Amino acid sequence: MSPRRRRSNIGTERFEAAPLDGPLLEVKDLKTAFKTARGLARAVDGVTFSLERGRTIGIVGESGSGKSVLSRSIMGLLPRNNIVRSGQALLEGHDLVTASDEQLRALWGAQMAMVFQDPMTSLNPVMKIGNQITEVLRQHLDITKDYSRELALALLQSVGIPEAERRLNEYPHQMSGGMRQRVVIAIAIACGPKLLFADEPTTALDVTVQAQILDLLQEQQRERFMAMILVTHDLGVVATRADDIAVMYAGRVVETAPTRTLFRAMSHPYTEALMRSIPKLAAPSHTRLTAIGGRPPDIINPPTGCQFSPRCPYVQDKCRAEEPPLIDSAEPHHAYRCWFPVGTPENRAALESNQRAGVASAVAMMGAN
Amino acid sequence: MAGSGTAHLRPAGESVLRIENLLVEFPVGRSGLKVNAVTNVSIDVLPGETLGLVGESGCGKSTMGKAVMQLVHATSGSVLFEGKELTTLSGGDLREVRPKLQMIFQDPISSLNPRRRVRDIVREGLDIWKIGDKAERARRVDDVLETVGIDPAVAGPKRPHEFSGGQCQRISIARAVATNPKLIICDEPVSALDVSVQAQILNLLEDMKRQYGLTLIFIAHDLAVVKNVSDKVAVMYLGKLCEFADPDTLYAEPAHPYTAALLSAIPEPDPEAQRSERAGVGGEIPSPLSPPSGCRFRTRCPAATDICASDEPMMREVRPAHFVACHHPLGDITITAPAANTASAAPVPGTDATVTPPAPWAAPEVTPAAPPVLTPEPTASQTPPSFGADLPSAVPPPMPPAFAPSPPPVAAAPMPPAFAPDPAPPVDSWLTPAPAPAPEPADVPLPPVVDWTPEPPKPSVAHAPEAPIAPAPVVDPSPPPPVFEAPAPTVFEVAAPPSAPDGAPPASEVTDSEGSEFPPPAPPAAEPPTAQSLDTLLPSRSKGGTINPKR
Amino acid sequence: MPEQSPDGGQDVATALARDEAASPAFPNPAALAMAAVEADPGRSKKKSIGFGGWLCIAWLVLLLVVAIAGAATGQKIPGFPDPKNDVGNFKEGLFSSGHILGTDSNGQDVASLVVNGASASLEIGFFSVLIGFAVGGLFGILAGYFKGRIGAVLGSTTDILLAFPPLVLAISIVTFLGNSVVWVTVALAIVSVPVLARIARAATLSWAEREFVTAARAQGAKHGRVMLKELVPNVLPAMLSIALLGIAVVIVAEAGLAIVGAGVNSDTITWGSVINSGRQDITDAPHIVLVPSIIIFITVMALNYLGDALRAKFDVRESAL
Repeated sequence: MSPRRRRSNIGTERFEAAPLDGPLLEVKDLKTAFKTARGLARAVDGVTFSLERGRTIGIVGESGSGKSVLSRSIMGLLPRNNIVRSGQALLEGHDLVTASDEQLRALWGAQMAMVFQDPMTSLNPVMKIGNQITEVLRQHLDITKDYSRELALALLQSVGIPEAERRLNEYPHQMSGGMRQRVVIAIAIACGPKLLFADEPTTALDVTVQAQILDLLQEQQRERFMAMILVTHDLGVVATRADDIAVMYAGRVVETAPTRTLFRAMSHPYTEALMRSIPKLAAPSHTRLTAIGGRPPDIINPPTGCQFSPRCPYVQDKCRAEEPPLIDSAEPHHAYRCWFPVGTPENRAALESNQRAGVASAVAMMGAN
Repeated sequence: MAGSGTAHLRPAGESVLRIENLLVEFPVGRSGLKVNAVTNVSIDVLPGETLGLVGESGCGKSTMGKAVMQLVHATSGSVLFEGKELTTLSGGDLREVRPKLQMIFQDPISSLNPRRRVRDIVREGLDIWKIGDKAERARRVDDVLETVGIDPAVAGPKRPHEFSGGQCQRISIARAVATNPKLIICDEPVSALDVSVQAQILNLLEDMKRQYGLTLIFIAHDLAVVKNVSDKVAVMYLGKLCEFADPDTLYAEPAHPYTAALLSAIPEPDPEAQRSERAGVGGEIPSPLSPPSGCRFRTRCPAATDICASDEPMMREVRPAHFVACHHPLGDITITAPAANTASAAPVPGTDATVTPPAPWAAPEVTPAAPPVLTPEPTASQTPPSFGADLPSAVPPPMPPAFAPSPPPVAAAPMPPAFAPDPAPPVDSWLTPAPAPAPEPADVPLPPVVDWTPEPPKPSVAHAPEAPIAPAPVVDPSPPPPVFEAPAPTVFEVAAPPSAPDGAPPASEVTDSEGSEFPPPAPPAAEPPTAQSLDTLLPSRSKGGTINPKR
Repeated sequence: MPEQSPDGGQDVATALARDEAASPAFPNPAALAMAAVEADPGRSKKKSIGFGGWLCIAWLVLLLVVAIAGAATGQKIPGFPDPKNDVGNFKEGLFSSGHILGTDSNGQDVASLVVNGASASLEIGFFSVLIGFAVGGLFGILAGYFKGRIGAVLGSTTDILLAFPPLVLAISIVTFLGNSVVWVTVALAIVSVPVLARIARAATLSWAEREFVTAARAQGAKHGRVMLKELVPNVLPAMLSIALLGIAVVIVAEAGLAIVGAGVNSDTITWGSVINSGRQDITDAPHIVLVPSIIIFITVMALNYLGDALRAKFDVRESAL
């Protein structure tokens, strides 16, 4: 029996009936800032995207880009006391930003769930695996203890845990990192959420295990028709796992596109720089990498103009003065935040003028091209 | 267990660091049990070389680094640094070595004392060893800080927490190079950093290496990173060495199923990458408390057979300068005999650390009296005549391409297998001159590998410093004519004896199939005869054969 | 880079689902904010200790002045009635003429007693903690750094000392050695050693795990240097805040000793002895006990607050990543 079919609607009962057309999740100009001693830290600064049912969006960015805060902000996991949020995050039309704690609690687990980075710390160390799963199940589903145990067993089996029966009675520390992450996934999908947040789900894992876990996530996602937000710093992880990609920099989405489009025709200099700085397996050893000079901007006192301009090889006066909006490209669903997008004649002209002017990052590009 | 043996070691006189049969055990609680974090690993590094040490967590790569630094105690085995045995050194003598042997740690934050100022942190080594007077030390600190891209005037009086991770790692690097070390062990130096910063640090390490003439051991779990920086790569699994080769060879044609699995598991930033080819590997690393018998990878290995459980594979050369510890190496390599030999020669898998029975064909290795003269200066003229497969790697980046033909797939190994793991298919593949189907054992279903094998003499690999002796008919399209002639024959002569008993007949078979499989691009005149006899084929793989005692 | 698990790792989904009550296990907000702010860790803000901190400092300076004066004059600070000889009416209440804080059951001026007693009380408090700090810190760092035999021996020694009821230990030491200020100080120092040693050991154990300690060893630093340069600066702050608290505790403990009759001999006035003398009159003249108690209370508060403020000020943000 599939646990999915048994899903109750506890979550949606608190809202009016959900419209079934339209995207599952629509994030509109979401802003999230932390109150710090120095001022507001704009961790997420006006992010807009939408996610259809059953699709995966990959959110890529470096640490400090706000990608983790974004997912937590959408899910409503951030403490309310020291953040400032604005904008909308509509899950099936219901705004998560303004939702009450009670409404959110009904949604967590049932409608949306999260898989965290570190499987060791995201499980309760003093609770048996089985109980951790059944607890979630019984929280959201009106089922008996025995039945919840059956479901838990089925869940463990479905996430590929061998000897699931025995594992139910084990504690997290008795399992390996990969197995623990499988358990975390089992818990996350237990109540058949429509939206799964995976926040760096494989960063703490070994590369062979990483592949397994990503496969598992994908498989579960397809099987259950979940939408997934895959947050990662690794372009390699999203390249083959996400339908769409949003690249974040300094709290903003600087480029968003369907995966293939993005890799084929990346337009934002940051995306390009990110790609170039990754060592490629295909390249011969001792290939000099094109590093991105400088460091991310201060999100408390952000620079004027384009956030990437201080590090950008194509930077022009306009970039320093004026922040570019998300501009639609010729490709469908492809938008970027750049005045001089990569691959255009303007971009080449900008690079050349910078190289003539001796801008370090532009000069460094000479060898790379 | 995957990988004992010392066949892959270069001549003793050449290396800066030579680790032999290193065994590191940790007691587990009070249970009396012991974990073998590193088991019988041998490895060496030549001056100016970067040795990449890859493996997943728990494979013992970091322990290796710490054992070299003598930060953990080696249970047995030897660590020779510049000819000095470190494992037996005691307190004071060991400390004397420290300035020449430095380490860069993974966590840039944790490896810097939060309460000390950057200047003091970098100066620590100089202070300890009272190198120079105060002003000189200060100058040196400023110098190294500047070379790592940190402004000494601004950063000097600050404390580490005022810097980002990447900057902290730069400070760590400055600290490591301040005492002018010979060897730096980089223990996952970039794995805690963002990709953009990672690139900066990797580039910086390369610069530092060039500027200070460093030798590096680069420990990491990221294969792409390792490939980028390394001159030699060693793959470890569960405390054992699996494979040892030049990065380009290793990545193009991994011979160990584990290496292949690792490679296929890497998520490539390319959406067009075929998902169906993602073979990966199932399962997870077994507990090091009770490692599997025989080959340690066998529990996850798609090619495992009975022998893998019973016998530990030894390191052996499958291509020039490409060593693997596997009974059923992947790719266009079908040497079963050495494995068989190994099995008979070393029937006890968990042998004593000190006794590592080398395969018989590696016997000549015992002539280390060889050429101590050979200071590994990158002089092209000096190297080729004597050193065969090993030398080029001794030469740091500015490689004379003169004697670097690409590593041809030595699909030699003509002896009929003593025990064929999967009798029918391999034999079949040896004999049939089929061009497309890679002659690898049929029970190795790792798709990416299949993908690679048909094109072994990749031009992309050609720049890799490789063996001059290319007995196979497949030759790099542009081999340097003159250099070739002299060295090859000598080497063959010397090495002939050990392989003699195996007889010639199969050899011709092999060469036949070989010839048709890889139509050679018009073998140059200087090439060794195409119809190599077995005698000449085999030794090229053995390390012993490459050392010319006559020289 | 792999973001170092900014959530501190709760599985929020589970935790939340589990926790119907209002306090779901949120990801550590501080860590999140940090991850967000971390973009530029280049600037650090100097924290001030605030108005409260300055108030505490003012109080402690006042105490110090009084204590020095008391010590210098042999507890006969001019301007106050001689606490030993100048006898007034018994048990006069607060704000009576000439005795602003009243008199005790011997007719001595309470204000004078408290002011003059400050020297002995603070002396005992400060020096016993100082001794405890030095000895305990040394023990603790050694025990934490050398985890082998030395660590075991030192560790179990402090454990044994800790297991002793501290008051009994102090009483027996005073009884055995005598009840002068010095011996009471020593007794209380011995009691405070294991506590501080334990804290030092715990801090050392965690700091010694850090890679910078390994790095120092890899540089060739000798053990002594590693402890002095790498560990002490990191262990000290943790000990310091406890030690400041310790001074307060010792002052109270001295009063406790006085109550059980093992306090400093009757020639020396301490806050403890004042409380002790007013004990039997607590019903009809509560101010005798109350005044020194309030003074101790304020002092403890001040030390406590200052300890926290200082720790916060000198706290280095270690995990910027």
